[in-house]
Amino acid sequence: MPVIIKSDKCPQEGALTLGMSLIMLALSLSSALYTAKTKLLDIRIANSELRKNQAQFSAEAGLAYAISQLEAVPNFSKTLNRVVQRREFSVNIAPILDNAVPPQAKTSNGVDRFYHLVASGASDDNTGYRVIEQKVRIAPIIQAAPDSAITVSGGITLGGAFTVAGNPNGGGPGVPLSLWSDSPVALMGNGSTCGLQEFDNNTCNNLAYSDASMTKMDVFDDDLVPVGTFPVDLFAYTFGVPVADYGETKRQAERLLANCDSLGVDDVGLIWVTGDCQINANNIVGRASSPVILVVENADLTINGGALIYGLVYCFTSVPGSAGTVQMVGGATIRGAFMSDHAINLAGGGFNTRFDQDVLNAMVDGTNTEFMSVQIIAGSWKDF
Amino acid sequence: MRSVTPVHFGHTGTSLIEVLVAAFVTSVGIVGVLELQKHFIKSGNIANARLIAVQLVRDKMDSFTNVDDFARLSSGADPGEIIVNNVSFTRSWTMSEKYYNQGTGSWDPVSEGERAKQKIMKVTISWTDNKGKTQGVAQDQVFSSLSLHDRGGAIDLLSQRSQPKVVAITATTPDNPAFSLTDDSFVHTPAQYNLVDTAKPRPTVYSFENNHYVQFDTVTYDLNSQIQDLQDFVTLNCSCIFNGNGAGATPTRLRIAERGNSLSIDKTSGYHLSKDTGLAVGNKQPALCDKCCNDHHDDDASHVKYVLGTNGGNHHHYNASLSTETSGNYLEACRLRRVDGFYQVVPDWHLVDFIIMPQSYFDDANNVAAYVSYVKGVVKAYMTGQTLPDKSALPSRAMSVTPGHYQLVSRGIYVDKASLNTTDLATITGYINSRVDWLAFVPFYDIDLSLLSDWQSRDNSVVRVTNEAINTQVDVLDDDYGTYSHGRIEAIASNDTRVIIATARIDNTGITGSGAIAANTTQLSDQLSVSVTSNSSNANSIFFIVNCTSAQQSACNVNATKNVTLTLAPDNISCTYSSQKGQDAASVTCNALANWSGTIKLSKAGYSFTPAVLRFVLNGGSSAQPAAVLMTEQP
Repeated sequence: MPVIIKSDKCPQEGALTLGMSLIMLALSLSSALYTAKTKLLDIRIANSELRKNQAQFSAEAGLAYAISQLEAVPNFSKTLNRVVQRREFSVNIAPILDNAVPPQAKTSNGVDRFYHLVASGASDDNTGYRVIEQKVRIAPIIQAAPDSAITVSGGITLGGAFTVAGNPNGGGPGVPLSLWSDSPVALMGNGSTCGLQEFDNNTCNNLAYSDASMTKMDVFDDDLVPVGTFPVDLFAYTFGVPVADYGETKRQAERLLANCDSLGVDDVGLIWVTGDCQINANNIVGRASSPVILVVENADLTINGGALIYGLVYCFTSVPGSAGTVQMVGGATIRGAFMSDHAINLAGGGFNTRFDQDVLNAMVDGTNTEFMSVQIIAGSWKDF
Repeated sequence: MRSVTPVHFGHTGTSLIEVLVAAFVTSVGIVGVLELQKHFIKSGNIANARLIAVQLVRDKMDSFTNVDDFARLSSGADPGEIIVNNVSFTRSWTMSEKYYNQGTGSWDPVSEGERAKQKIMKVTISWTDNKGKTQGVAQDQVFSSLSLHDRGGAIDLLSQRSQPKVVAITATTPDNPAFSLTDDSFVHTPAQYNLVDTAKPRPTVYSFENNHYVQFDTVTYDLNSQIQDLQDFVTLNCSCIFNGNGAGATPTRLRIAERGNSLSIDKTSGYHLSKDTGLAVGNKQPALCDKCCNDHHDDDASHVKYVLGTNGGNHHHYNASLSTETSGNYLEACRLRRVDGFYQVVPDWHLVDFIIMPQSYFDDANNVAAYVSYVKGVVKAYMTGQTLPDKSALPSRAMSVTPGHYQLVSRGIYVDKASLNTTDLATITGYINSRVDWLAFVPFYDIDLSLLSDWQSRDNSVVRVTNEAINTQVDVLDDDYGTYSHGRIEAIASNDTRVIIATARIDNTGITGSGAIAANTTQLSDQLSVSVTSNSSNANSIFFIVNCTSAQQSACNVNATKNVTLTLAPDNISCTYSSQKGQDAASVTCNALANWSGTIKLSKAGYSFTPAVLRFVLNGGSSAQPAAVLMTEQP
């Protein structure tokens, strides 16, 4: 017998369905909200990462900018607020007092300066912020003036009408040093070495230290130099950088040239020439107060009659077997010093080199910013 | 079996509608929620893609940071798409080069001739999102020319830098004893202290008409560091004329070095001030006479004096008549020391003691030791104001010789108090009784004056001594006594004894060997006796002069008389040929022969000798010896 269910509650019969629907809707909404929350968190994380990176880029840009600024103006010291493209940063360049410099970071030339760089950068919306620090040293490209008027690895032969005025204190206080080599030095022709006074008074040949007939102690060659005193690495002796890393010095050059045609009196700083270098007759390169370091890499150097170079001339061989030759025609003069990492044969022509302490000092005493380089102090970078 | 039969009322379809409505509402809600979720997921994907893009920017910037060669930082793009999380990214970058414009103080785009020192990099990442819409990220960065890998800052090679070292040559030469800078009365280890060679080599003499220019070095060897300290002196005489008031240098003097174990040049001295000045007269004098005439004047404004003892104003100057001169021409002599390559006028020499001896005196090591000790005693006595040691305490310097040519030498002991300030002088004097190395603080010099002092013999018939006019030395290394002769004696057979005297003025002219430049200048002198023996039955000698005539019938030069060969028959004796010294003739000497008989033949290519062969029969001194041999250059 069928059971008849009677209901007297008709108006409430759809509530269950509705309730279930609402429950399902609520569950869906909860799921959506959870997803939203999760995704929102992801987005927040992503945006946060984005802002952090933007701030980091800005701070790094500030640090690089400050280093560039110090390379251009080594005595620069102030806070810079710059916007480079969209990178907005502030960097404080402050000198470090000498007594605050770690002893191991100091060199012994006495002209080094130390700076503390603090760069802060912001994200594009200015909600992200980052600070990084770096300490740097400003030091001359060459650590010290050469000891000798002429320094040659591999030996040198001088002939013709050469005159060489030596470093008056190159071999010790008051001990002149005109030529220094780890191999034989041959003086031929009618030239001579002499003191600065005699060179300037044009009495070099009359009051000579050494000449073809007699070699005195101002010529340090393989006969006199005790084993080990001549630099094993002449490049490191000059630039303080091992020759294997010569590119580091090369990068600091004011000019990278394929030849010397454009050199003139206004040049100053490190000039690196990778092709044959010919200094035209009567051309003057550099000034006594603002000289040049002329590096001729794997190429020939010719200095024509009457030409004058103020500074250090360095004949460099980066590829074995590619050493260049040197020719100097009568009257050509180097005021400063001459160096070569390979044997030089100047049997003819004229070769006048006057050691000039003032010219060489202008490279290392910090007065010419072109000779100052920025060096990162290892271990000084931090972002905390 | 029970069955349920629905009871239908008038509103039976309502539930279905309600269900449908509910289903609709639910569907709409769920669809909305799903859309919302979809939107969230898409937004999250875009954010993630953007984050990946930023990381790709970072990767590229880091790779550029690691590039050592600044020149290689240039524009470019990856060759293909980068797919990360199924999103394809395209990456490219541009590099703009800047140089620092010193004029404007700004970083400007590189133009012709300028070299980039800064580069601005812009990295752009683009991708297509799941809506097909192109998305992009662009970030900028600054690069300096410095590489993170540069090691210049990490190494201090300066302190390790090779430096040229001159090996200390400490052996005493026959002509110049080296002095250990220690007081022998102290107990010490000699090797710990320095040696000084106060005139090495012997003075080199140049003559310019009426000027003598004398140069020598004083070398101190640091036995620990093997480094030499060299003092280069020039002493010269000049003719000057007063030039009124002007800028002139004060004397460059010495000071106790900062490290405190020696003397060094006081770089604060030698400055210019306004004072009396002079000019070199004429243009044939050495160039250094310009400096000598201009600077060698004292002034109240300078505590350091050129002439020791000058009080108030300039020191006296004298004309050729040795009368005081204040405005016209005057004679001058200066001592100059090379400082950083250039000669600076320094306080005058002051000769404290003067001594002569045979050239062979230092062949005996005992004589050298005694002489070194004597010089130290002289320096100590002078510094402390005591009486100088007696020369007679030295081993005998008297000569007993057979006839022949012999060279004498004279030595001057100079002490340079004038180059020290009073404070340092007092300090150094105090060191004398307290420091074994006090001599390292005293500027003293033992100088060979043989070719500069005046020589004379009391009796030329027994012993003749040369004193020729000073001239420029021609062969300084091999024959420094050859150009002109000073102090060369010719002992003449006599069995007699005579005295040789040498003198030198105590001021700068004692070094220049020129005439006096001041009235009543003190001179120091010394003498030694020469006993000449004659041949006897037990000891015979041969000595004869070799005169030389050139092809032009004039006197030969010194070099012509060199390299003459002696041929002895029999060759059982030893003979010495001495070439011409200045104008003093060459000679042959054979000593200590007993009853030798034979021949001596002189020869040189291009020359003839008269007589061609000399015959000797030495028998108790009875053999007649030739007065001279004539050497003639063949035309």
